[in-house]
Amino acid sequence: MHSPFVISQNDPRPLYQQVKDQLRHRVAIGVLKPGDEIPSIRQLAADIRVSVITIKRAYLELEMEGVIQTRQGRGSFVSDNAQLGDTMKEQELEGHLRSAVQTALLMNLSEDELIERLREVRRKDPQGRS
Amino acid sequence: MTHDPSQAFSLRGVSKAFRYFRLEDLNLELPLGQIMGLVGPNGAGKSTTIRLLMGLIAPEAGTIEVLGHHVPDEVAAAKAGIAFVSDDMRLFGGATLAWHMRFVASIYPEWDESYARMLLKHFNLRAEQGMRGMSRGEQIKALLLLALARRPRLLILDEPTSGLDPVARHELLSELMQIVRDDSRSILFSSHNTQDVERISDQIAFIDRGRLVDARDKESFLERWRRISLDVPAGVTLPRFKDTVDLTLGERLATLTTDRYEPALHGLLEASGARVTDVQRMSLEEIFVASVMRSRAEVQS
Amino acid sequence: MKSSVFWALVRKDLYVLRGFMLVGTVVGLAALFSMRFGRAGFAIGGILFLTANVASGIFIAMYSLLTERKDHSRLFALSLPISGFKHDLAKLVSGYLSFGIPWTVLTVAGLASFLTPEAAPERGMIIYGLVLQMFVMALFSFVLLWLSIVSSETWAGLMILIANIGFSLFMVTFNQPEIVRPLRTPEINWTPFTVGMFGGELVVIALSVGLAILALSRRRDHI
Repeated sequence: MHSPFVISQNDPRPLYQQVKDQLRHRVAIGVLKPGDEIPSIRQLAADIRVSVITIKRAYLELEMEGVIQTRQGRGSFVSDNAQLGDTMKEQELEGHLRSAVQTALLMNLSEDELIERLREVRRKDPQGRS
Repeated sequence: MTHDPSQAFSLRGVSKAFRYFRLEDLNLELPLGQIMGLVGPNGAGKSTTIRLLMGLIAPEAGTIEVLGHHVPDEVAAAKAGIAFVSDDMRLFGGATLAWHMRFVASIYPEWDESYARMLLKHFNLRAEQGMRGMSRGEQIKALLLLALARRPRLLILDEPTSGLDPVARHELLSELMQIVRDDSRSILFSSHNTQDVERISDQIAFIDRGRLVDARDKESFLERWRRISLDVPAGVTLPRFKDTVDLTLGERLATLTTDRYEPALHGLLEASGARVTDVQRMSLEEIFVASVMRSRAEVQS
Repeated sequence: MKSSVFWALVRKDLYVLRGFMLVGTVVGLAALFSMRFGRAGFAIGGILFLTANVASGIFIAMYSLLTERKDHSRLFALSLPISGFKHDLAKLVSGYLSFGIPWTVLTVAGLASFLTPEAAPERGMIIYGLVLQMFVMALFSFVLLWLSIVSSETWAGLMILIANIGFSLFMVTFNQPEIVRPLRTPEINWTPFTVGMFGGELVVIALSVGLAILALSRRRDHI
């Protein structure tokens, strides 16, 4: 894994969540492919200067979620699941949509207003880059 | 007398009294391969605890073991594996850093000369400089260099980042995290910098007024504590929870701080008629302050 | 491993104190030499010799035990793989060595000067020299014992005062005509006074060393 993780204590998400999200994202966009090796817990902890216990937690949860697999004595790998990238993308989209629904609720937007807003964004910014 | 080499250190029932201060029945341990952050106000007993581990002072009660050796009986054997740096420590005034490097290298066979040279660069130090000509910050960096280049099995740091500029602090944290690559090496550090403690510690211990207020792994701390914002309509009384650390009531809004958070709490609160508007995680600093406040209130009552 | 830390600390102290050791020796030898040149040379040389002896001893004792405390390097020294007792013992040993080596040089040189042909008429004064030098060593031992027990600079300052007074009293006593005249002979005679004094000095040295080691071994808190 050559692109460095970006972990910030100013991020509202807890550290273990940031580690999980960044690993999932790499799988989603294909930087990490099924079967690729990922750094050992201690290695990653040293690389991004985050406690071992936090990395352990992130890896444990990712394993339970089926994103990675740890083989005793061999290290950790991205799950051998060919659909993994797609699953990750699905989950990311799901997450974004849920936040949008939640925020829209706080703003008291109706379902139609929310859909209109989504169309507006796609019109102005088709690539979703900004 | 059980020697447990699977632990970096353990203190059991340790007590020590001074004229104006006493450390009471301290129980603390750290497994090998982990980092413990020790947090506490000034005068809480952090330095005393560390000095007890180093065998510099003897306990009046209890047992202390470090790297499988009983302290202070086998303190010399224990210290062979420990590197200790304290913010009030100084090196020998009349000598240079190079002299100290040779001195330390002659005592500890694990001295890594090439690593030491790399640290000289990273910490921006000159080996030929005399101790007297060094600023406080440079002396601390020199002490850290001498401690790190020995590749110790247990590194004990008492306020290592006080007096360090941000660049040096960043370098130190990087070097500390390199140590954890080896699962047999451990670190104990006391610090006021709760952000650093929160980031790199596996275990955290809070000390206040000679007592251990709380000690557990970091993720547990962060998961158990929450600040819950509530909307409490008129006529509604909130139920009393024993896990409430603090409850602040305003006109209609209340803030409940708890150290035993679980989602079921929402149900209980809403059953009483209140509405949960926000649940916030707490930073280690906030957790620390809340813990100490509660501990002090308990001691008084 | 432990003994090498012990001797590394002793060597370190000797390295730090090498200036005092050298100056003390050189000044003392120069003073001895100048004592050949007439009455004035004898008087001045004599005083200088004694000052070099006593002062360097006091300086060394104070410096090695107190500056370590002042410049907080004691904490660093105690972080080394050595017990607190052995560390303090190393300080005691380096104290005795850093004083004892120049002292031995000056004592041998001083006593030897009584064995020269010119000194033949008053060869008995070699006893005077021996008792005097042993007094200085006894004084130094006493100061080191004191510094092993107390830890503040006030007590240390008091120690210098007592040492000075003690030395002055000794010189006044020892230089009384009734004490000195029996020694100004070509033969070497031990008078009752000199026997008692010499014996007393040896006892003081032995006791001081023993008690200092005992005091250090009983320390439970080293910081």
